[in-house]
Amino acid sequence: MRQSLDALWQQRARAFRLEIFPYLRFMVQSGFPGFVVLMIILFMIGYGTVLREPPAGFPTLLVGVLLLTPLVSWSPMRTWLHPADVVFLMPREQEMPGYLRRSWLYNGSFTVLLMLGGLLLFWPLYNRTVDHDYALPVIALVLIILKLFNMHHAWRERRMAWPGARWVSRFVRWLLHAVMIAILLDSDVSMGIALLIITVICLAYLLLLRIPKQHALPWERLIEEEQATRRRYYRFLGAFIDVPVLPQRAHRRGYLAWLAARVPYRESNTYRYLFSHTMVRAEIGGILVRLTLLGGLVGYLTGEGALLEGWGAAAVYLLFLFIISVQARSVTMVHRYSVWRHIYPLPEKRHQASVVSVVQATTALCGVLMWLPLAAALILDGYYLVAAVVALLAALYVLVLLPRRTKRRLADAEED
Amino acid sequence: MDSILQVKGLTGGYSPRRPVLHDLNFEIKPGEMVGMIGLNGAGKSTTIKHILGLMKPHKGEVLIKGTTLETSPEQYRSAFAYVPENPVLFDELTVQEHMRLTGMAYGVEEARYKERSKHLLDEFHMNAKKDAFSNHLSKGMKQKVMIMNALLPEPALYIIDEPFLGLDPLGIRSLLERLVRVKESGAAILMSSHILATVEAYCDRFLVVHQGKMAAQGTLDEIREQAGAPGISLEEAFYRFVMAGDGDAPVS
Repeated sequence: MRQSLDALWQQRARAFRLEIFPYLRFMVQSGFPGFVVLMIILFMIGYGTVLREPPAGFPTLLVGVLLLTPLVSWSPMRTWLHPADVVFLMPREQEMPGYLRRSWLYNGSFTVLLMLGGLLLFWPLYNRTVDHDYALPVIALVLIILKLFNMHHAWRERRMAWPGARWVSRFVRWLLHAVMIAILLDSDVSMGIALLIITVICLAYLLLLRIPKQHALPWERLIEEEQATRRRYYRFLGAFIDVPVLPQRAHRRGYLAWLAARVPYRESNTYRYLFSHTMVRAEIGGILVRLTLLGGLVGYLTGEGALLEGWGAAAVYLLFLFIISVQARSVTMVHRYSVWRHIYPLPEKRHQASVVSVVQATTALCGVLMWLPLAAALILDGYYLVAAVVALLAALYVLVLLPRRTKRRLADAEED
Repeated sequence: MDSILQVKGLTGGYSPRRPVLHDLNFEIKPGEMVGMIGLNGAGKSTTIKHILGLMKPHKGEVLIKGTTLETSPEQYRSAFAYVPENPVLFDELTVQEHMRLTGMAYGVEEARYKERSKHLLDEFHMNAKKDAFSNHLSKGMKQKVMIMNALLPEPALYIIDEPFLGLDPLGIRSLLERLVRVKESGAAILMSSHILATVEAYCDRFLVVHQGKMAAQGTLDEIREQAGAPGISLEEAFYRFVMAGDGDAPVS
């Protein structure tokens, strides 16, 4: 008898949980949950301070839009589909709506709960600082309706055959929701104007949705999305324990790739050339860019606020540098089993030395870029010593500790 | 003339208790193209893995230009280039960058690398794809990239596993023409393939591997002689070798 697709969905969801579970133990052992709890406590203390005495002109609406727009618009879809399904499940495409219904429920309930959590977190600040029109349940209800619209539209986007249309549609959808959330939260906007703006944007959007060609079921897109999600899980878990390396998708990143291309043409630079490109073009590169930007911003803000006489800002900077180095070090896991490592006429120890130097250079570059805004803020406030000490500590870390830890990681990986 | 590749008494496999290859002996001289033929699972790829040094022999030894992998790994490895059966490319490098990496790895001078890579891109009609990533290439194009990378360092020995899989007719032709030129310039080529007509037309000698043993080897005439039927084609001779003996009929 043929297995029902409903049962297949449940079987696959269970299989994924069982696959991930053993790794979670290592994450717990690493003390990561403790770190998260610490961060939550720190955040709560900061949030409590702001709530008690909200600074004049605190941008509550902006914070609300920045927090709620992604929570409302982000509509992931876990389907557990694999590449082989194009062969084995595609002939049963007419039964797929039943299979996907489970995905809808699974992803929908998770993202709605996440969104409501975000709203509950934001509400005390909003309630305290903004003179608002609507009660919490009304806003929650509107957001849930918007969320359902988003899930539907995100599905339409997945079905679009042309990637350009998909990106435009997604951009318009996010923008539209940012506007709608701003109007919902801001009691100064009159309802008439608000409705007019929303109607015009919605009409334009509906027209746009009609244009592109659509797949009945976007198999390839769903499979790719599923693989990307799995990669994210494994990348996260990879920070704590060796995990299977899933194939990565390369991004061109021309704005960074020129750096890797500058590695001089020399035999001794072979692996350095390879790993520089990996660092820039694999997913690690994107993570490092985002971390550096965030670290620079947080460094500047805490530096300007002279948190704990500047030392607080220094601690935040070093924490970011540490996280960046941990991410950069994950490059050691890539190409570990590449056949070319055994074919190229190059000494094995050069492989190791090149990985270490690329990790070091990357961390140093991110460190310098993050230090500049921090130092600017600190120096303007007269905290020269803090700016100098933090640079010294960062240099010591990158030059002394980091190579040792990277080599150890490589040695551990070789033993496996 | 000294052999470039010597395989002496090679017995090997994945488990010491169950060898896949049994006492293989052959050699390849400069300017020779040798075709290795055999059924699926006959031991062709395992033989290649032993030559590459990816597997260790249980008995016997493999010498390239007179050295073993153990005595001088860099000299051993720099003497050959390898084209795997399934293209193995780095996801984050473009076609051009793969060639640059190969040039660096094999110590090709920068000016020569530039000249040769340009020439290879023209020859294999890959100019339009030189900035493409491997996941944007078709199977045949990936195979071309592998072949171009093998040709770039101009090594003494080429080890080519199933080179024609996925190649379009133009690609096959470019490859064969190029291999003939490479051979004429004095390099040795070991090629494993199932396309017997092509192997017959282009190779100077043949290795017939069956169930991990050398069923026959030599020139076409010598192979015919060993098959006991002068004048037959390589395919016919091959069929006689694999159907003879224990009656284990071909599965594919």
